[in-house]
Amino acid sequence: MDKQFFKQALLTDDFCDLRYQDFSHTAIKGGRDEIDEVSIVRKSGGNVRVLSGGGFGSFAFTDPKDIATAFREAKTASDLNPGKEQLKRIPKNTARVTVSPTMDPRQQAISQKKELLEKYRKLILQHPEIADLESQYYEQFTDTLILNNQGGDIHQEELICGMTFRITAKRGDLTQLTRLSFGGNEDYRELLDKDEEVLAKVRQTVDLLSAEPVKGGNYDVILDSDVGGLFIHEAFGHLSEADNLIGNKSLSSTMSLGTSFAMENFNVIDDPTRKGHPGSYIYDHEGTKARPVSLIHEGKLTGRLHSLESASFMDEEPTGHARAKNFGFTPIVRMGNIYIDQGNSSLEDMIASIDDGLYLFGSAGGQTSGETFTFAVQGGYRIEKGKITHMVRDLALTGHLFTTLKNIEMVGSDVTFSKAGGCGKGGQILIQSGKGSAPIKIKNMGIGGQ
Amino acid sequence: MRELLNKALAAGDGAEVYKRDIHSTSVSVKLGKLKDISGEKKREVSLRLTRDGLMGTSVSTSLEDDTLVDRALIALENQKSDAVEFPSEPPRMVFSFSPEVDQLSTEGLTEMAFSLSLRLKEKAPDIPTGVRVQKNIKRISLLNSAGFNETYDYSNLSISLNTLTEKGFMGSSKEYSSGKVPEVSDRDLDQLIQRHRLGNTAIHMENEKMPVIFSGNVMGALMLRVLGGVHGGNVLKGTSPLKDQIGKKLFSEKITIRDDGKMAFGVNTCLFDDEGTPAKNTVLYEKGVLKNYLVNIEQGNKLNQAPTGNALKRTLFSKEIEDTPSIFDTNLVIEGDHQEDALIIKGIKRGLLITGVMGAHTGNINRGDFSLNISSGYLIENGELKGQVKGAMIAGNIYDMFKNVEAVGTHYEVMRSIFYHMGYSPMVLFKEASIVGK
Repeated sequence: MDKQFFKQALLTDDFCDLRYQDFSHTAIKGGRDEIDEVSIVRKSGGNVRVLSGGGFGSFAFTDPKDIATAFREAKTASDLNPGKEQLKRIPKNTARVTVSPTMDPRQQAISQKKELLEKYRKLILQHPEIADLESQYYEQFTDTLILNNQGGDIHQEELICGMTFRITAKRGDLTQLTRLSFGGNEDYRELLDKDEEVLAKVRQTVDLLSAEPVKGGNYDVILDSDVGGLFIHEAFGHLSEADNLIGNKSLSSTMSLGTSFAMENFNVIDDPTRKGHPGSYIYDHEGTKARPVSLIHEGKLTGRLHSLESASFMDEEPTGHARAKNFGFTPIVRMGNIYIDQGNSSLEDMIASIDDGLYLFGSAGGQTSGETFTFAVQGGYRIEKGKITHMVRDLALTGHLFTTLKNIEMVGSDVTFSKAGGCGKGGQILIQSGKGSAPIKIKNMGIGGQ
Repeated sequence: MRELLNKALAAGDGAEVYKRDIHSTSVSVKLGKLKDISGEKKREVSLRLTRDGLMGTSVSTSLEDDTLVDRALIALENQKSDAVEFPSEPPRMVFSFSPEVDQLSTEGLTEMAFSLSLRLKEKAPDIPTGVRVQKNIKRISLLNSAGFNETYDYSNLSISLNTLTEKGFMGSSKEYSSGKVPEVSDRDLDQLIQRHRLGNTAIHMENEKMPVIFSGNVMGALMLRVLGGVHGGNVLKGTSPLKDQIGKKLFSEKITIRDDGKMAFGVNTCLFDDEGTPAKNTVLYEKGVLKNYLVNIEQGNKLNQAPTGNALKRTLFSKEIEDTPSIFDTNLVIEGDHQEDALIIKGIKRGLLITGVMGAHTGNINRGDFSLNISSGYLIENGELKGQVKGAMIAGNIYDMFKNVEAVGTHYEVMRSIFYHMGYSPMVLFKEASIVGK
């Protein structure tokens, strides 16, 4: 990567930045019968932004020879926007960030990774009621240069590896699907010795075949840490991304700092600086150093996630949350590691407090739009008269953001982070997005059976 | 491309070089002001190499990447992927490119976005709106060792319109996507505004079974499951419920579904798919009877069916080349027992019109299960839209649902699966579905 070449290409007037990236992604995928795909994708390219008019113009390219064209196109686009916007704060950080995992996945042979995946595959498939399996080892390494014409100069490596499994059990016409993940950080060591976790997940998947389908309706629920993480990501995290607020006075008013969103003993934080999770990083893709942000403190809105543009618009400090899937995309505001912080209730007390409700485990994907959110879970248990009775299946949840946050009644004392992240926004699926939570109790939650 | 092909052939028995050059521009106008303009000029390259009956793939952004052959060999040596016989059949002409779209400048796209924003403002000065216009031009070339050497151009113009609620959230929305410049009619704008205003009347449903209309756009959430069923790979793996079901009547006779890669100026029209099979028009269900699966060359060999031209280098969540070709829709088209849209709505005593859902990517898609939040839906009583439904869900399985198709509308909309458009459908009326309300 020729840094000098890119530095010389920066425009001297107005504001501009440039991100150039070498991107590699290794995937080993296996179905029910065999490992049928090994791919090593390598791409390189850049993305420039210019702020010379009333808004950003941006342009992505793959051939470095197109860099002058990219800046010209981006400037033309910015100038088409009437006015003269200026960023209030511009990062001038200079740093070289390299990764140094305890056990580097890039140093392991493809054959070793394949062998490890194969071991877990066989363990899962040995149960006669496991009808299908999608398994994957993934490893993504990026080497990114982030320059701007005000002195910002970040050269940063990012590395993430992990394994994911989608396990289907079948009995007659009934099928049940669960998910399992390991890793989600730079250390290959965390993928080793997971036999017990694998076997426990297989047992849970098969047990779901004997579970009762849940009856749709409203229930008091307890979400385990994985589901709680998905809940806060979907139900609140996206709303805390301040790029939604640019030019939107109504939403800005709805999201005024100090507004009470939940009970006093409820705290939400996004922290990319916590090490070892899918959304951990040092600098965002605008060159801003990431910092933890308290989003809800004691039930009140205390902060939001920013890019340079949104921070400028709100006249707040940038938080280092502008990231892009890869060089082909413009950075947008994304969560790092969002989590519901610990409270003071024990899980036993939470269960005992419910007369007729559900304990839900295992996230299975979600979505938010406007004031409503939805997400699916892998399974659950009925809680009757303060006791867990039997397993239930086919669960999806839906709710209104603000009502549901107000309905959180208890927060557990142990925070656990999920091993797999992932979030889709603006056409960009970002695998480096983490989530965690303490178990939480929510009253009157809408549950739809499948 | 020839140089890379020759280099690959020195290391293997057969090879295929695929290249696409992409040039796109996107303009967003929000609340009457230009929000952002972004563009891209990208090259994506893929190599498939065969040796001793096995096949490997590699991906890059440059034909000059000297690791392409080595990476394809690593894949070949480590994965169980049978070599296919690369096709040589020359494709026939399709209309996948419009110079009118190609010639639209950034200034022209900006004018178009502002013009739409202004039209919405004239119709409803009190309602805040957003407009996004995206132009996408591609040149796709494929060269293989069987003699196939073809190139085609592709154009697309997509427009999305939306309103914002008082709190600043998404209100109603409307989408267009075509190889030509789509026409945005006054009727559509009026309907967008009317549905926005219905949002002021919130309706909370009880749990009940009722007739349900899926709008053309939202049919994509169900068609994603139809696609999972007819996917040749899923049929072979046994994860689709459609193994050995060809010729059986699985859906109502009132619906026909086909996948038409040759549709003139369709959203995913192509001259050939990403392994060189010429585009086809494949009937999936004819009057409810399963007729064909969608297969690539390898699956076609195993299922004794000719490849259908649906092998595409993309994933469910990305149109970048990230994997080997997989089965995806080209232009899915829904046809059947057509009735005027207005008459369909008028004929319902109590039911729902669903125009937006969330959660299309969750659940066991390949088996047809769905559990969707109704993010935009309207209660129909005595043939009239009464208000917007809040906090309701619809759940079921498409193999039950599609047995109950009552009518298919006439006004086609582009369907959205999750991130991407997948063809065209009018509204479809289902006799009965379970709604989970309070």
